[in-house]
Amino acid sequence: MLLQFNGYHGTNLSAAKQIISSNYELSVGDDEWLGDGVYFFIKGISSTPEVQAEKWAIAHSWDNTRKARRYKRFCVLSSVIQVEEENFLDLTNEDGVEILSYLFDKFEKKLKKLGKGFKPVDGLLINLAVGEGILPIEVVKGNFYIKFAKERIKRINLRTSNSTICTVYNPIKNIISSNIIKIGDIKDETK
Amino acid sequence: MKIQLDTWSVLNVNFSSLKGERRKENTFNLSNGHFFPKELENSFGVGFEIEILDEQFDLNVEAVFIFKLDDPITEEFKLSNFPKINGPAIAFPFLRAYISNLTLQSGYDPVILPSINFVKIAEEADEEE
Repeated sequence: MLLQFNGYHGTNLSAAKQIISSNYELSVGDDEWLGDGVYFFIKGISSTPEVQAEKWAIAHSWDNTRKARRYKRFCVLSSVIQVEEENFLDLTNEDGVEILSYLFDKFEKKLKKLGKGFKPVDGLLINLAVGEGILPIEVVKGNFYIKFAKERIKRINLRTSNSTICTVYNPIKNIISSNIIKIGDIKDETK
Repeated sequence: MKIQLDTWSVLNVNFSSLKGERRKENTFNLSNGHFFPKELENSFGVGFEIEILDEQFDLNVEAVFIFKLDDPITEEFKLSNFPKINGPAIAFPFLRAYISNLTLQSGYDPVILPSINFVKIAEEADEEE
């Protein structure tokens, strides 16, 4: 069965222009929540993923080293994501969690060698599984606790998930269309 | 392509008097943005958030202006100057008049916001990117 749903991506205006003219670029790194891919907020724990994408773009604009904004305008894109059910890993249900657990068992020795300690390894496991072609995963969704500007400024840290996010590993294949839905100024929320 | 202001409305007004205390100077902050409602393929919105810190009161106003086009909105149009420059420039005088009337009718000296150069604001934002 073919699954289709909307994902919301928050970014800066120049990146949005790039996305509209060509396509998304992958976020790369084993520390990424669900591995190397394009990240979207989707409906799940929150009924307003488009608002979360905006909040994410605003939070991400802050460069903590320079204590300044990287960009002053945010942009929210709405993309239609399409994937065959067998290529979709849903980490919000028991079956998905069991698959992740299987991946952990499979890569346990490798993880020990990499010495990740107590760091979350979800993204690394998925990168390993995709890289070695163990599972034909194209899109993954999971529930996470994401820190937006308020959580970062007030140093709020909860274990309870507040967002459902989805990762697409091959945007050319699985993203059918993308539209800009909002562009706006970023206010200085530190004042 | 014909573009016209269709409707506008104030979403939020927060007025509070300083009750005796007075600030030394007046300041204001303006932020704006635009959005493209999925359900209205020929329309787009321009939103404003204005914070006025007057000598005698605080005033926050949030307003939205809906523009209508005679053609469906394309991605090229969304990134063009109209939503970021022309739209706000058309809408802002309505909001300035509203704020002036509101403050006058509330028993204070009317706040006359200065003209805003949206071309310059857009250029500055583009430069920073």
